[in-house]
Amino acid sequence: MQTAERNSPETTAKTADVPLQLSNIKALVEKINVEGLGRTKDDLVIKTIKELFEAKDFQQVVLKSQEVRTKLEKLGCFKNVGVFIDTSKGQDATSSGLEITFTVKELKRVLGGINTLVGNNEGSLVIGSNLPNTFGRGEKLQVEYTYGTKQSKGFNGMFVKPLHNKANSILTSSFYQQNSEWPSSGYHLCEQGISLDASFDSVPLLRHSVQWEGVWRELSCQSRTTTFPVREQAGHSLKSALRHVIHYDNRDSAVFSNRGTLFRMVQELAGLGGDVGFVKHELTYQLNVPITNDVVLQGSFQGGFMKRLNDEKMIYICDRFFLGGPHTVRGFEQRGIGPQSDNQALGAQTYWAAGLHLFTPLPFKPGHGGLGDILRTHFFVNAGNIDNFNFGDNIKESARILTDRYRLSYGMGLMLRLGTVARIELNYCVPLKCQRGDRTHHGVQVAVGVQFL
Amino acid sequence: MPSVLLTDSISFELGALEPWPSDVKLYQPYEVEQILLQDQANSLAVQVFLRMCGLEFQVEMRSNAEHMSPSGKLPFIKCGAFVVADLDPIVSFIANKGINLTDHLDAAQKADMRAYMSLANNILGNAELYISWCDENVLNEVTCPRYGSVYSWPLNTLLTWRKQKQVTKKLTALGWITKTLDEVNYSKKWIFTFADTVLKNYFCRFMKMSIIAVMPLVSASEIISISLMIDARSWMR
Repeated sequence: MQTAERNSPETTAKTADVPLQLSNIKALVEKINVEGLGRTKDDLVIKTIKELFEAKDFQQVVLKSQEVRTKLEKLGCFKNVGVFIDTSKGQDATSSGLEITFTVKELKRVLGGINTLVGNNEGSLVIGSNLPNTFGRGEKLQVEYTYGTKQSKGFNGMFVKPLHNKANSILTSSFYQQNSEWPSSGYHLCEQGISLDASFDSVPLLRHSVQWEGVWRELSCQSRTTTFPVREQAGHSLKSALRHVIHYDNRDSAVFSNRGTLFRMVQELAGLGGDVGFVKHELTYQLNVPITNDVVLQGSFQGGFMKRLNDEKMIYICDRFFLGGPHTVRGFEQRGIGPQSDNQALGAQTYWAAGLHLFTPLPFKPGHGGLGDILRTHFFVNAGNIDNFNFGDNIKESARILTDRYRLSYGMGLMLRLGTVARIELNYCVPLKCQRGDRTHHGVQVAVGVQFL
Repeated sequence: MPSVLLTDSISFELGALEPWPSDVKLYQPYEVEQILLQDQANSLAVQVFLRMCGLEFQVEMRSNAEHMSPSGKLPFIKCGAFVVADLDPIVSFIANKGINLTDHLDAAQKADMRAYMSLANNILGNAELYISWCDENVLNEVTCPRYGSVYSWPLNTLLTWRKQKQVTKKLTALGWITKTLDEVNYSKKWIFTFADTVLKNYFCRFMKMSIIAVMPLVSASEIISISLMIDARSWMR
């Protein structure tokens, strides 16, 4: 079949393929409309969309409008944001002018919900309601009631004010009540307190938090058989503490990470008021190294050190460190390492714990998209030590004291990922080195949680 | 979860087998700054009882003694592995070891003694609580400063308020809250006269102990006269 093409030699030359470069098309954003605003304040919206005016060509306009759209969605004011780019019309329009319209849908005034939460070996039901975008600048007022499987109950009310600046600063104030049971130490703890928090990024990915917390704690014995050293700590105490947290996380995933490091350091000074006084430092470090496509080697370290502030203020058992259990050094009972009395843990002021893990996919490789994504096998070696050490001035001597009488365990197991933050571990553990008084667990251990050694 | 009654009865049975240890401690709040009327009276009662039985013990003062106690009542003793609180349980615990002060009484007299003890506990015990927590003057000048002296602000005000609510609730249930101070004083006077009569009739060492227990309530002169009377009678026995 022949098609007659009426091509003159000039048009043939003009219709030769020239790739269209968006960056070559000059464009200027002349007008930005935002439709659907209700209670959100204008200055916040203007601050977010201002950068769009700097675009010089069409490619920049398209990319920047995507960025601005993401920023608007992250403000905490809107449910979804739509973008519409059109040529500008009207009297002041120029030939290369563009008019961009953002259609936003504001969040409702009151939202509520019932969620489930996964903690360390505990599941909780959370019933909450929040008022998003309370005063028009992305603030949030939230009230929650939590009921856990281990009879822990609590509620908290929180007001969050983001400052929408470069450092991504957020101010939070909250009051809470939390009841928790600690059968491995034989006490029941009721905490009621207020906390104020200011978080900001000093450099991208490095987040600082400066917090003040005032807590009224009531410690009571769980039963008549609670050991006497824990019974001596029963009663009321008041803690007023300043805390500084540094958090750096560049792992690709919090649960099954293939690469990246996590670094977290917490420093707490308690004693400005109240009867609890101590200085506490705690450090968490995790390094993931991919060996092949699917195999990851992970090294992790946790350590903590606390010292009493002066003779007038005390350290209570609920402030001390504990070690042992399926979330820390596996192969031991919960809080099973360290000073014990009548098989109940008393806690101590210094500890360190280290773990070396090898994560591999399932042996029969079911492949992506199925079980292979959420299941992994891991082999681990855990070590740790905890006690009320007396350190001298000599560093070598202190290092020897820390590593003397350490505990060691190894094993292997399966891990199942729950969502994006939690995992279930099923491990077979063999405790290798332990001290007299430790409660070991040789065999299968199950753990659910967010944080693991 | 084992039942509390079973655990208690087993622990008492086990406790009976051990002799009195040498390091028994009696726990009470701080005597100079913290302790209140009723706790002081009960603590004295237990101390007198232990001394009359010839048992050695040491007094330990703790600011959180009330919370350390397994039942919330003061004082409590730590005897080896056992922690026993309040006068009556301590007396039963020691009786299980074969030591008591009522061997010379027959069953009817023992029953009478228990009735008098319960009467004294009810009337004088509640009078002590009333005076400490329901009389405005005593509450503001003595009880609140003393109860809150071991806590820092704002816990001292909060906990004192909470305790006052608890005590008021208990006294309301017993009908004591509507009494005036005069009525309370009259009840006290009645008890002392009555106790004196009982002393004359029964020569019961046990009763003497409980009378001594309420001594802090009476004035100094009454203390001296009653104690002299008791000493005289104990020597006669």
